[in-house]
Amino acid sequence: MKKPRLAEVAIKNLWTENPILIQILGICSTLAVTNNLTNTSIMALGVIFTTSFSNFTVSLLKKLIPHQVRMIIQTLIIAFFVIIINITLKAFLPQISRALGPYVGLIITNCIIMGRAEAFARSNPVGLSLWDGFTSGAGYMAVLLIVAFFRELLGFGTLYGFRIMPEGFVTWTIMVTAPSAFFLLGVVIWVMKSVKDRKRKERT
Amino acid sequence: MNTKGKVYTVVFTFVASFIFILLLALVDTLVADQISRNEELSRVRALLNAMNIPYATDTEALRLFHKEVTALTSNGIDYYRYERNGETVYGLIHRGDGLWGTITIAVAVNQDLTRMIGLDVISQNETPGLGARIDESWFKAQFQGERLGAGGRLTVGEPGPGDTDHGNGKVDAITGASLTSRQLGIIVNDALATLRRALGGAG
Repeated sequence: MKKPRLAEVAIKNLWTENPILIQILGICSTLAVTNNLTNTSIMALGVIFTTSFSNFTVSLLKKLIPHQVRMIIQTLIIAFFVIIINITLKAFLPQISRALGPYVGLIITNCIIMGRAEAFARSNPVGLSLWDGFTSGAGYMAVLLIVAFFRELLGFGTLYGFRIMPEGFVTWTIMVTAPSAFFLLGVVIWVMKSVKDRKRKERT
Repeated sequence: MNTKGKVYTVVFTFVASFIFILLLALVDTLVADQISRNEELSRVRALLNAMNIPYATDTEALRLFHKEVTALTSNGIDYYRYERNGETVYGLIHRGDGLWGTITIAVAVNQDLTRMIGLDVISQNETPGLGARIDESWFKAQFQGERLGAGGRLTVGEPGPGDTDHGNGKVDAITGASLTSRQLGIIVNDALATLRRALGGAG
């Protein structure tokens, strides 16, 4: 088998096999946090940190982890990094910790993280696994930011809390609530798929 | 090494759990003081905000709180008193059930409990961008100087942009978060009843 290279891994995670657009993973948090860019960014950074280091650790221990209990050990490793983030935010960024509330803890249940540990880190070298985790997280962040951009702009008339829409702009209540993320995510997947198909057609 | 054996599996799982939890315990111990300082500070700041006592920095907030605000206990209830230009303001930290978890708030009322001075949220676990908006300033501003209605209660009405009439004993709910808003209304009214009990009135 050909050894995957850095660029190849990055393109896969960001584009051709993007965890949200193609694998439809990590949808719960996509729906939940994306009505506000600030929360989205911090949540996504937390996911990038966790996928990177859980991938790193799983890869480091891959020869030692018994096959039967590997998923339990992966969960332990993921939970470890998420709790580290939670404690660090509470100690040094209490305002952000307050704003995110329970969502930091819920990073543990983000399917992308365990997915990458199972599908990649378990059978690849340490450095490449770290890179795979980082780029998977970045692929997740990119899609979330697109969704959050439209939801915050139309739902609140702001971006990162700064007023963009003119005074008197009627905000779209549905953009604040979770269902709008379904519609927006659907549109994003549709657009990306069309672009991909067109590229494929041009190539053949 | 045979990583398939039962003994190895059990020993590995035990050792791995032990090491990861030990590391977590270490990190937790290192930052525990900082976290409890932050929590104390967030209580102090919330009480000052609710009592409408201005401060510029965290240090000033702590100084003002320890110098100007008196902590009292009566009927087994802890509450706070502050004197401003001959008028007494009472404050209380109270908690209750939100939609997803516990909401802890600070409320302050005037001397005869007819008017709210203010409200601040100390901690909440509501949905970010929806219920968590109870912590936004436009929402909390609705409570500032709000005259209390019949029985010294506040009413949470329909979702809206924020009720600016401070004489009607009513605040607007948050759009898309009616349940959190309703729960907050229950907690605020419960806090007001608790303060009345502490001050010797009929609950």
